[in-house]
This record gives sequence, C-alpha cells and structure tokens, in this order.
Amino acid sequence: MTGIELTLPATGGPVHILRGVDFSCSAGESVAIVGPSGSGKSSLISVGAGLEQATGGTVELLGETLSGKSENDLARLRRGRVSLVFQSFHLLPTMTALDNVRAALEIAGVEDAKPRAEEALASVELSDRLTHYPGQLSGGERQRVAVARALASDPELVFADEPTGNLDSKTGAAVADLLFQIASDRGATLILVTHDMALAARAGRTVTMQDGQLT
Amino acid sequence: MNRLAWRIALRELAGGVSGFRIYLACIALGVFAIAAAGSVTEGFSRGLDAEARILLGGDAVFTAAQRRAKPSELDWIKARGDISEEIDVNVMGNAGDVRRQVDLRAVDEAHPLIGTPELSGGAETLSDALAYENGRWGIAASASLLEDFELKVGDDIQLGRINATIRAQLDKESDGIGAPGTFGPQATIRIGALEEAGRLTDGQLFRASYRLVLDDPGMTGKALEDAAEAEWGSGGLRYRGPEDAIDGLEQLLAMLESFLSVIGIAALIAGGVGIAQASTAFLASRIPSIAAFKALGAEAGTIRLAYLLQLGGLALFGAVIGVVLGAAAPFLLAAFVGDRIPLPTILQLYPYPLIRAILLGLLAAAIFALPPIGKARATRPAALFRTLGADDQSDTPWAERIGSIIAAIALVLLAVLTSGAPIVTVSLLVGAGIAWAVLLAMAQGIRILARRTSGGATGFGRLALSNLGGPGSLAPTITPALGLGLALLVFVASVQANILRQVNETATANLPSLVFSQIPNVKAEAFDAFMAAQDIDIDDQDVFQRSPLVIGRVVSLKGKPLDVEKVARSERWVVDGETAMPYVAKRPPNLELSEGEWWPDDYSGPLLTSVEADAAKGLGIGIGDTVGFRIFGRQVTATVASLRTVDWGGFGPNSAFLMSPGTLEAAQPVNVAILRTSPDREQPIIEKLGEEFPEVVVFQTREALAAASRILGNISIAINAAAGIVLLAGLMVLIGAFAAMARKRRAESALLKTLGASRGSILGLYATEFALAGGVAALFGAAMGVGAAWPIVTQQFEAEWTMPWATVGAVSSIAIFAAAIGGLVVGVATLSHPPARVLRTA
Repeated sequence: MTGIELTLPATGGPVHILRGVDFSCSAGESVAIVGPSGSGKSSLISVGAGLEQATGGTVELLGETLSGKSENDLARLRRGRVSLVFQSFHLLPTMTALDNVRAALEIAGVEDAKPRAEEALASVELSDRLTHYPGQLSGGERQRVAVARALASDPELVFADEPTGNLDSKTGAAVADLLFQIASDRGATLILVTHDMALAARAGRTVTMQDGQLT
Repeated sequence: MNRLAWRIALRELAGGVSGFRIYLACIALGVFAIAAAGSVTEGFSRGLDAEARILLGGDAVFTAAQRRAKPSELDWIKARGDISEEIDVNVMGNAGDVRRQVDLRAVDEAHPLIGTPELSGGAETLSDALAYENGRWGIAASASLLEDFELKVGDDIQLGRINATIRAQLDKESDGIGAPGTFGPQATIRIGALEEAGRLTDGQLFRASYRLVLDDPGMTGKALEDAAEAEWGSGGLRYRGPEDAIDGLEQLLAMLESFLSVIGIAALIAGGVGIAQASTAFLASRIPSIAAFKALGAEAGTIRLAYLLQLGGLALFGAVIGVVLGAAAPFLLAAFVGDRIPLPTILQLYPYPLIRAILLGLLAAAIFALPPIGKARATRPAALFRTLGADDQSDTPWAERIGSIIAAIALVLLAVLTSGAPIVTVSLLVGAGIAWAVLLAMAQGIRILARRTSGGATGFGRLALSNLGGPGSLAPTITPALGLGLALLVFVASVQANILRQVNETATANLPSLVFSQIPNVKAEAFDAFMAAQDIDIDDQDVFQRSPLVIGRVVSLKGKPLDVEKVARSERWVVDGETAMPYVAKRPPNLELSEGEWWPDDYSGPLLTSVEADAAKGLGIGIGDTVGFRIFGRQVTATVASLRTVDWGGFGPNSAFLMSPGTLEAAQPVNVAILRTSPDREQPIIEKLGEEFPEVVVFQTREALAAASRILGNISIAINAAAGIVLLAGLMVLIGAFAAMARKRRAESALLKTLGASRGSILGLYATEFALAGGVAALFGAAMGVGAAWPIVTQQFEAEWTMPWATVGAVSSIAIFAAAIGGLVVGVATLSHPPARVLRTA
C-alpha cells in the first residue's frame, strides 16, 4: 500500500481515516497492526483486502493493483486466496458450522469442499460441532469456526481484525494459537489487527497506527 | 393503572411509527374489507327495507297461476283498499327477421298504485304509452327488447297474436329494482290486449297478481295473510307481503356480507404473519431496554403492559384507518358505479359494522402480537451482558399463549354471532383456519426438507436451501401469508372456470337447443307432425320429447298441510310457487330411478308421481307417501311411486314431479317440447313455427346460456377482486418480509463478498431462495384452492370437473416470479452497502 488515503463523508464534515499510509509485507510473513481505537487499523485492512476503496494512493494485492477493479473483479481476486477473520465472527446464522466452512470452499471453487471443511473444523477441534448452528455455539467456538473457514481454502493472505477481541483471555489465547499455527503450517501471510500486545508480540513484525498514519 | 408502563409506552411511541408500516397496513386492510362489506350491505339492506313496499308495488300482493281472481276473491280484496291487476305471460315477439320470447306484463288502468315508472323516447305517461290506437295496442318496451329486436320507439311488433306499437322505452318499472340490459326482452301492455288475443282462458300459462294498498295502514301483513287464509283456505290466492319482496335479496345480501367479511378476516389472518413479524422485530430491538428495565427492578407485568399498550394503540390506529376507508366505501361505490347497481341504497355512516370491524381487527392483532409480547417480557436481565441469538430467547409464556388462543376464539365467536349468515361464516372461517394451519405445517415441513436436502446440493443452490431450512427461514413467513391469498384466488378462479365451462360448453352440448311451451293440447299431434315435417326424428327421444303438463302447487305432504318451515331451505323452490308437472306414460331414456319403480306404459290407475330424489329428501317424503297438489282450484293427491336422479343440465323432462297419465288429462294441460338441433337450424324452425303455431312460445337455450355466462363473468370479476384483498395482505407481508430480510441479509451478503462471491451469484442466491419459498406457497396454495373448489363444483353445482391448469399455472408462475423479484430486490439492497462498513457495524 502506497500513500493510502481514506476519507469518508459524515454529517459533521469529512472524516480523514487514513492519511498517506505506506505498508507492505511479503509472502509468509506475519504482521501485527496495533494502535488506539479509531486510529484506522481496521480501515487499513479493509482497504488492503479490497473491501473498501481507498480515496487516494495505490494498493497492490497478490501482485495486482486494485484501483480500477470492479467489485466482481475484487471478489474473484480474493476467492480462495485472501481470507478474513472478524472480531464479531460473522458466521452465517442460517448454516451449520460445517456449512459455513463448506460454503467458503465452494465459493473458492474447491472440489472436495465437504471433507476439506470437516478437516478444517477438526483442526480447530470442532469435529463434534459440525451440525450446530452459530446460535448454538459459544463465542470461542464461533471464532474457531471462523478461523477454520478462513484457513480451509489454504489462502495466501489472511487478514484478522481483532480475532480475540470478543473472547476471554484463555479462549482468546487458544484461538490465537490456532490462527498462528495453521497460518504458519500452510505458509499463509497473516496481517493481524489487535489491541493485545501479547498477541502482537507473537507476530514476526509489529507496526503501530496513530491518527491514520503508521508510526 | 401502572404509570411506569404508560410512561414507557408513550415515550417509545413518541419515536414514531416508521417500523410499523406493515403492521398498520395489515390491520388496516383487513378492517377496511370488513368495514366496507358491512357498510355497503347495511346501506343496501336499509334501502331495501325502506323501499320494500315500493318494490312490491303495494302493501300486499295476491297471486294465482293459470287463472284470474274469482269475483268473490276480488270483492274481498277490494273491501280492504285500492287494487290493481297484473298478468304476466310469455309470448313470442316477432319483428322483421327476429323472433324471440318476450316477458309481457299486462296491467290495468289502476296500475301503478304506488311509485311511477320511468319512461323515455315517446309517451310521457304509462296511460298514454299503453293506449289502444288505430287498431294497435301500445307497449312500453325495455331497452333490452329494443336492442334484441333492433327496434326504436314508434316501431311495430307482433306479440303472439297481438299487434302492438312501441310508444315508449321503459327505463325503470314503478315497482322493480330495475336491471337494465341484464335480462331478456320485456314489455308492459294493457290486460285488454291479452283478453282480445284469447291468452287468458283457463289452462293457458299465465300468472295473475292483485296488488293492494290498504285503507287501514295499521293492518299488519300477518293479520291480512291470516284473514285471507281464513277466507279462502289453501285453495285461494296466495299472499305476498313487502318482506317477501325483499326476502331473497336480503338473504343474498347476508350471504354476500358473510363472504366479504370472511375475506376481510382471511386478510387479517394472512396479514397476521406481518403483524407477528413486525411485533417480533420491534420487540427484538427492545430486548436490551427490557433487560435494562428488569435489571432496574421493573416487573414482567409492567413490561407486558407497556408493550401491550404500544402494540394495542398501534393496532387501534391501524383499525381506525381501515374503518375510515371502509365507512367511505358505500359513498365511493355510489359515486363511481352507483348507476349500475340496481338496488336502493341509504347512504350514511352505520356504526354497528364499523365497531364490529374494529373489534375484529383488534382481536386479530392480539392473536398475532401477544406471543411476541410474551417472549419479550420473559427476557432475562442477563441479556444485558450478552447478545441473544434466536435460540437463547425465552419461550412464549403460557399466559400469552392462552391469551392468543382466547383472542382467536373471541374473533370466531364475534364473526359468527354477528353474521347475517352464521353457517356460511362458520364454514368459511373453518375453511380458512384449516388452510392456514395446513400452510403453516407445510412451511415447517419444507423447512425440514430443505435442511435435510441442503447437504446433497452444491454451491449457491445449497446456500439457498440452507437459508430456507435454517433459523430465520423465509418459509414460515411467506408460505402461509402468500399461500392463503393464492389458495383463495385459485379457489375462486377454479370454480369460475369450471362453471363457465359448464355453461358455455357442457350445457350447450347437453341441454335442449329449443324449448317450446304453451302448445295447446288439441294441437299436440299437429305439433309433432310439424316437427316431423322439419326433418326432426320425433321418435328419437334423444332429439325430441314432448309432454303434456299441468301447473300446480304443493299443498300437503303425507296427508298434512304443507309447512314450508319444515322443508329444507335448499329445496323450498319446489313449494315456493307453482310447479310444472309433466305427465309421462313411457319411461324416458336415460331416466335414472334411485328408488321405487316406474309405472307401466299403459297405467291408468290412481295418480302416481316420480319425485326428484333431493327434492323428496328436502320435503321429507319417500316411496308410498302422498303429496297433495292444487291444480285449477282442485285438489288432487298423488302417491310417490319412485325417486329419480335428475341431471339438471341434461336432455329430458327435468321437473321435481313427473306424474302418471290418466288422472290429470281432464285438467286442461298444455304441452311442452324440447328439441336438440344444430344452431343453424334453430332460426328456420322458429320462423316456420311462428307461421303455423303463433301461440307457441320458443325459448332459445343458447341465448340464455350466453346471458348467464356474461352475468357469471361479471360476478366472477367482483369476487376475484374481493379475493384479491387477501392476496394483497399476503403481498404486504411479503414486502415486510423482504424489508426485514434486506436488513438481516446485509451482513451475510457482505461476508459472501469477502469470500469472493460475485454480485451476480449473490443476486442469484436470493432470487433462488425467495423463488423456492414463493414456489412452495404457490404449490400448496394452489393445491388447497383446487382441493376446496373440487367439491363445490362437483357436489354443489353438480358440474363436471376439469383441472384449470392454465389458471393454476398462471397464478403460481406470477407468485414465484414476484417472490424471485423480491429476492433480487433484497439482493440489490444488501449489495448497496460497502461490506467493510456492514461487517464493522454488524
């Protein structure tokens, strides 16, 4: 990301969220982005994943420049190669744990989606929760499903936005272990937004956001 | 009263009603339909009551068939007031190339005793119009006569043996409800014309009526009827009072009001899903507040009251909107189509149907809103500390469940007890209730099926099935709400299509092409010879049948005087007036006996009768019982020898009573004949018959069927429009569901985008999911509509059933298409939000 600007309109006047951010990471690297609330951490990974269009600067993702790409082009680029893990899990409430992971694999065009999904859930120790709906799972279990969903398709790049933010410290640590371990096992790049300095310390590199800029 | 509850309710209501549009619309629509139905029929009913005397043309009418009143009878009537005589006959009209049956109303100088006929185009008064001038009788002709014979005022027309000139167009009878263009040609003439033509001798088919305006206005109809009965016994003239003039119409109005009310209630039931959905969504958004109130010490009862007040107040608001629109309906109807409605109306606000509509609306709201209120007030304060999923919420407490059931029972009781036709109302409500329950069960079934089959599907098809089978599925919302409206529409359309087919195709093929009446007995054989001369095979009973008949009235059953009240309502037509009784020696082909035996061809013993089976059941008579008839003032008794099954749409002497030959031959019979021939031969036969048998009246079945088909078509449009209200309620629920889904699916859509799904795939997913839900509603709605229509068509109308595939296909396709479009709209709405922001705030 080079010279990234993100300015959003608001009733009280435009809000400058990102102010000329330069950031890059290489394949297999793990990077933690830390900083106070409202500093623009989550916005940075939104822009990086192509979920939000930067109002200035250039984003290059997996070797492709994002500017000028349509929403569908961006979706195709992410498909199976880029995954996201959210603080609020964002599982599909109408689907079982297995179907949540399987859906992601199917969208990625994976042939043997079902066994792969089962395998991914087994890797996060949820083999006994395959047919449970998100409403029937605890917070930790939901996030483990989200991790399984994010990593099942062997993505090249994983963005995780406060993945342990809604979990207690013990559960959060367990989820973080899984995330780092599976990302490392599969050689995925991990970009992690967190307030948790202990979690950040586990990343290969830590960068700090302040007022929309990397310091 | 709990002040805190009031404060909470008022504060929250002050936030506006923007989330309650569907809630208000569902209640308002149902209440509107009920209020409009009640107000309109009340207006007609009051109008009929007020004009009953005018519609009858006097305080009372005394009638006789095939004879005029005896001098003693006339003296008795004249002693009680002013009197006018009227004779009704059918004659063949002949002008230019057109020959058609005309209903002729012959009146004396005293007619009308009350009211004034409306004339146009010529003579200004009835006296002038009917005057005998230059050797021709004047007539006032209906617009339909002028149209059918292609004549205008001033033209001549031959009516049987009468030379007549049209002197005016009769726009409205003084005592008729008037229905321009609906019925066949009619004309008014002087009685002298019929006397001169010899049409009033005993044995001819005519009906004489004597209208009376009482000198003593205080005399009741009952007193007059009793006095007449005492004077003449059962063989005298027959009494009819103002209440009888409107009785049939009042019953029809009561049925109509019941039907429309149930349509309104069905709309409330279909809209009930919308009510429940809006209540649930509203209360779900209040769960943190409720938990906070409880954590601060508020009791569950306070919470319940606060939300009861809010949802109750909103229901009342919706009901008031519906009632205001419903109260305006009679005025709007009168303003836009008043001239096409042939009923007198009194336009004003009628509080009773409006209050009834409001109460029904509030009860419907209670049925559907109480369970979500119960769930909300049972919310645990712990909800403050965690986000509650659908499965974490409390169950509906028993108090609210029971409250909802009591409201349902109260709604049914109120609807039935205040209905003019309670049996019709209860039948329709039970039907709607069963339909609702079945649709709800089917929705659950489909949900389970979708859940089980989703594993076998792949890609977005599986996503659609998972959504349909998972929590928050569309099926329990769309299937009953849309299905009920579709079921009603398919039901009406199926009945309509089958009846119209019966009238247009089956009846045209089976019924006689021509019916000949008033064939004098002395000319019966000459008539047969005439038919034979027209190349008709008169020996083929599938082509031609002729029977002598007499007209009589049932006066006793099993030796006891007839008590009309004991006769089943559906069969009262047999005893309500004079009935035709053909006497037949040889058993006609295709005649089916269900009980007993046909008399021998050469039978000449005591009078026997063969009775139509349903009529016999309704009259409570069987084989060996006696039926007393009065024929020309003479009483005869016949013994029931057999019961018949009659195909009323078939070819044969279709009459409630067939009589054995012999006894009745002295009773100056006339003959009727039926003929089946091709349409192109009808007119030549009618024309030749006019030359040789001018007194014979010919009835063309095809024309009557075409008129019936037109009337049925018009009625169907009105009923379809009414049924459409339920569908509209269903569509409103659908729109509400779409709006709710658009909100709920925002996060899902954003997530799918992050996973790499394209816009097209997401739109396809929602279109498929919604189309599946719409398809289920269409499938079961259509199946139930057809299932309800089948017994009505085959049992009630005794018509042949043909599956209306085109109708079912069209209705179902439109429903599925509309649902799929809804899915696309939901998809577009969800995609309009940037995924990053949605996921951050979700």
